[in-house]
Amino acid sequence: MPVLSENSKISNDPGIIQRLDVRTKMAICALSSIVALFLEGIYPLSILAVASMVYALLHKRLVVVFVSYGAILVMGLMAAFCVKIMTVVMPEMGKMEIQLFFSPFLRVMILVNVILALALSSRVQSILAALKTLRLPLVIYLPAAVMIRFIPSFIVDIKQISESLKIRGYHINPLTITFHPLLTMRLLFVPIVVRALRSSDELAIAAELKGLGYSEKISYYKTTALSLADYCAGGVATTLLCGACLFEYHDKLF
Amino acid sequence: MSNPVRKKRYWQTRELIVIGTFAALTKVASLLIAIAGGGMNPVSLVLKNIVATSLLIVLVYKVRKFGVLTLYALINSLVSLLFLGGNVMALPGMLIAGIVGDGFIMMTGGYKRAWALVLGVGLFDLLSRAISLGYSYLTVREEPRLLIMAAIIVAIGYTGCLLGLGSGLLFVKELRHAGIVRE
Repeated sequence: MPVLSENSKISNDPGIIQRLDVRTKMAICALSSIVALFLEGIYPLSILAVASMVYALLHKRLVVVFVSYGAILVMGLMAAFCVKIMTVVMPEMGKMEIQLFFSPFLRVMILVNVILALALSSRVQSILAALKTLRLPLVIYLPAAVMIRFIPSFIVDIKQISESLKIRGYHINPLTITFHPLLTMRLLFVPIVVRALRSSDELAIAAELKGLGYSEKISYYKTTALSLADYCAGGVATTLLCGACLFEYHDKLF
Repeated sequence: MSNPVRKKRYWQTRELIVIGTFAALTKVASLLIAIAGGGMNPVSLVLKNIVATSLLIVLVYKVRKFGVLTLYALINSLVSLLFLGGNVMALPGMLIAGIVGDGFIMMTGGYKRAWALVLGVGLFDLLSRAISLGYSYLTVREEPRLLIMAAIIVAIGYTGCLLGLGSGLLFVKELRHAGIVRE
């Protein structure tokens, strides 16, 4: 029954981010990455960091977003700890100044927010649909579709291999990987590569029998146009990015 | 009835599928080894890179055509961006690394020579890491000392790539013996 289906509930009530076309999200991601790389001032970077945080939080997957922030914070603290140790051991490297960490941290925050908004709103089916809307040539579309299709299958395969190894008395965990890396590699790697090669052969034969790759160009059964929400989101993003650039370079421009 | 003469495509469907399969396998195997290794574990870091490079060696042995590394890098970056949170700025860097790797293989004897393939993959791995580090430098340019830790991790990872070149060759030998890699 549709009412009891969890998936139908998700598809019937998509969030703002999910409603956006993947082309819009990719464009926002690309523009933000480029602009964040050029900006140096704390204020323009802070404006963009807050705006990108709102953009990522609109996805409503707060746990994933905050876990990612936690991971960035841990990595940042580890890097700062290493710098501190270096300045203590080698004083000629200079002093550690906390304000120098702000701009790199804000830049990383902007990048992570826009990437999270893109990656979290993409499911296997929506990515395959997105690849079609991007109108990529077959040379790129076919391997990308195969890659997306096979990622879940390989995860299941590796789990099965890991379980079969457990039955034989081998456990794959951090200890066995650290102390028996070659054995672990041999036990995991060999069956999965043979499986991958067989799968690709079978899939290739099936694709050739279906005539895939023999038409002059891919035909699209559905054409998707950008919606009003896409234009609005694009406009807001462009205004914010231009505003941040003006804030940074207004002395040089005017 | 006369059959229209069909133009032979440069990339065959079979080759495109092999590239997609190996890109998926490399991603999954690297991710699972990193998770199973428990995070910042140097052994799992080396192991992850050994597996990734060995798979890349098997791929270039299976699809011996100019552009295989470029296409692999392009697909990997595109799917990472859409699905796994990859960085959009990594895409041009990876493309450059792929083109240089492919060009190097062509210039050093072509795709029929084993050592050209191995050196080409080694160069592709080196360049892709160097370009990523260069991009990281731009991100943390106010405090470049932050990059030292990342550079150490990348260097440890690259030793895995170098070991992977050897293990990949050994693995290709086994696969050829088993009749899976034919050329």
